[in-house]
Amino acid sequence: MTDIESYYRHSREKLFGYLLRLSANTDLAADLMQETFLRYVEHYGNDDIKPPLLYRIARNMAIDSIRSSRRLTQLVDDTIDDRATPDQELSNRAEFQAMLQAMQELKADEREILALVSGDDHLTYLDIGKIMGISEGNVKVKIHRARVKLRDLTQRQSHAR
Amino acid sequence: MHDELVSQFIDDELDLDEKVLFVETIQSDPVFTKDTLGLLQQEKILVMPIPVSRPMLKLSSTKPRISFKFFLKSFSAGLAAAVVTLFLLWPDVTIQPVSHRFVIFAPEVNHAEIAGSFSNWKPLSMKPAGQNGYWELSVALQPGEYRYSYLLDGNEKRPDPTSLLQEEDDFGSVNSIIRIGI
Repeated sequence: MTDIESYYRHSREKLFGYLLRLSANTDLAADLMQETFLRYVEHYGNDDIKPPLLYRIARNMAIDSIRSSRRLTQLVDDTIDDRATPDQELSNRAEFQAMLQAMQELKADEREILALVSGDDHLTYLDIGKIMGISEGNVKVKIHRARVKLRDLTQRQSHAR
Repeated sequence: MHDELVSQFIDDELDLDEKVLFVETIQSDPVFTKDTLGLLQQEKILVMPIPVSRPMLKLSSTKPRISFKFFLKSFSAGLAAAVVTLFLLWPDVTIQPVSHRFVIFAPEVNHAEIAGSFSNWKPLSMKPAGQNGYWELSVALQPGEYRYSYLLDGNEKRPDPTSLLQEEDDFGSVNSIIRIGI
């Protein structure tokens, strides 16, 4: 099995998670995830996997998707399929869904930087800076500001309920 | 004061000195400790893995395109000879320019330009693309390699965030590189 196939089998959910956090739309995130892998193989072959490059392709495709349609940032009620899910997991998913909803209130670059850093793919601040075209120091500041803003938004949401 | 240390801690981005400072601040500042715990709880929710329901792709059956690098490694000498021969034997060949659209997302600016080796580094004004903060400009380019950068509100140079190739110029700025038709 090639590097990219192995990565795809075991880690595709990481890229999916990034796109889901970015878009709050499971169908769109899944479509973009599959298309990203296909484009990567088309352009760079299937022998070697470089996650920052994969994320950059995914990011560009997500931006294209914003331009060509308004699917992005339109949160759907059934973002996450919760059929046949144990109670605890259901509760966790409700929290995750609320978090996704709060993320849509962030500015585009704030949402994106959180989606990248929380993508569980070991992207460093340096990697994220290269993907977004900003300095590592700027990444550090932006990530923290976005996290604090997200916390404030979720707290406001929970008080409003 | 040291607020970003919390996120650096969450993301494993602290160096040794910052780790010392982080622990000292945790010990001395209860508000900082509370913030850290709150953001850690938030992160636990945010990184929750979500299963994806899509059939597995057969990536091994996807044909990679032959890359420029592969061409260079394998056929550079032969390719160069073939090109020279083609031009010598067929002098009437004319190469058509290719229209390339440059796009940047910069909702915070009032004016965006692009300057590059294709314009002798003279800034060219870009037009807003819709109402969403995107700016665009199509430029007719002959096949070749070009360096360029965006210029925002007349003073901020910004490399193309979507460009895979970038390099620092002699003045400390970062330029993007694009290859057209090669």
